Amino acid sequence: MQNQNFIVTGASSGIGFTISQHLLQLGASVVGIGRNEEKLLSIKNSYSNFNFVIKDLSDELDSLPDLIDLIVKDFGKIDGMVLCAGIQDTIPIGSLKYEKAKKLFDINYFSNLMLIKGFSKKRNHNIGASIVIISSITSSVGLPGISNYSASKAALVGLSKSLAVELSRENIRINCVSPGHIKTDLLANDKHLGNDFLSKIEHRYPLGLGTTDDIANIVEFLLSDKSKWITGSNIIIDGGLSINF
Amino acid sequence: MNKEAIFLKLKEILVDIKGDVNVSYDTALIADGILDSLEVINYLTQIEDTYSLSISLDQLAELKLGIINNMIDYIVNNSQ
Ligand SMILES: NC(=O)c1ccc[n+]([C@@H]2O[C@H](COP(=O)([O-])OP(=O)(O)OC[C@H]3O[C@@H](n4cnc5c(N)ncnc54)[C@H](OP(=O)(O)O)[C@@H]3O)[C@@H](O)[C@H]2O)c1
Repeated sequence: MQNQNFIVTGASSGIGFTISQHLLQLGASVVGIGRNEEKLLSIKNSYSNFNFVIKDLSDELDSLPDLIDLIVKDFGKIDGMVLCAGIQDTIPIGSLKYEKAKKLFDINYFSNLMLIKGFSKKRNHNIGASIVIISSITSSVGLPGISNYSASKAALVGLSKSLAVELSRENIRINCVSPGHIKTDLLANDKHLGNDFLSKIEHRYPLGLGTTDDIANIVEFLLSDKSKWITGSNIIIDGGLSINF
Repeated sequence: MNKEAIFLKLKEILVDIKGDVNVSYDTALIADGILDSLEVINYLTQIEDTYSLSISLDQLAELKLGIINNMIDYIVNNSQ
């Protein structure tokens, strides 16, 4: 991966931050996308091969393909893109409002669709490029109170399967990774979860809770040539949660 | 803000969630087992939307907002 070029959304925090770190330590160049300038700047201060773009991915979604054009103009053609930015909001169906539901879909689903549109242009990616989308285990197992979030994550799995076939002629691979629960700001920022949420559910994980490194390792593999015959897959990485009786 | 009006609104929200429900100012919705964990979030979210405020699950526990009277005071002091 040395000297290869990657885009990582959500690079400022949690899973996206660790993925960026892995890639940077392998000698790749990373362009991070996020809103938190302070956090992105602190990564830039540690790694000269890191650059970033400040962008709210819920805003002006039609401009996102142009954002990819601009990144390529400044930093060169892209070898891979990790779509990690996302939010979670625990809201039972009885109090769900359309505007909030739509905003979550804009960030978790539609922004990814539009970024892939930009990435898929011939002039923007190198041959053999790979896209990895971070879905969630909640796209395939039922957890109450997050129906809209789960639907947004399931939509990504469907998207990746159709696009895997469509983009194979461009020699682009596209896969999903579906993690179980990991301690990051995503859960801390969901004010309806409570700070003891993870300790309450940990017993359901045969291998215990995962770490951001567990997810970054599989993403690294999917971005590399070692996975060159894998496309359209959804890799569940959940410490055995979903197969636990 | 009128406490009686807030009480009636909270009752209306609770009826939406639970069907017919008998509550007074002293009712403890969680300790008395009236709302389960998901219903509590439903109740909180509807209050947040109605009164333009934000209440976390941790605040609910710390400030004992499951007691109707405490929630009414919280709304009076915090709604915009
Ligand atoms: N943690 C888990 O248990 C878990 C489990 C399964 C799947 N996932 C998925 O993993 C992904 C990463 O989550 P995480 O756990 O690492 O959470 P996190 O630490 O909260 O990171 C979320 C990232 O998304 C970015 N983001 C959120 N809204 C954005 C917006 N409007 N515009 C641009 N960027 C935005 C944030 O960047 P800024 O703050 O800089 O904008 C941040 O870098 C998410 O898609 C999540 O659904 C997480």
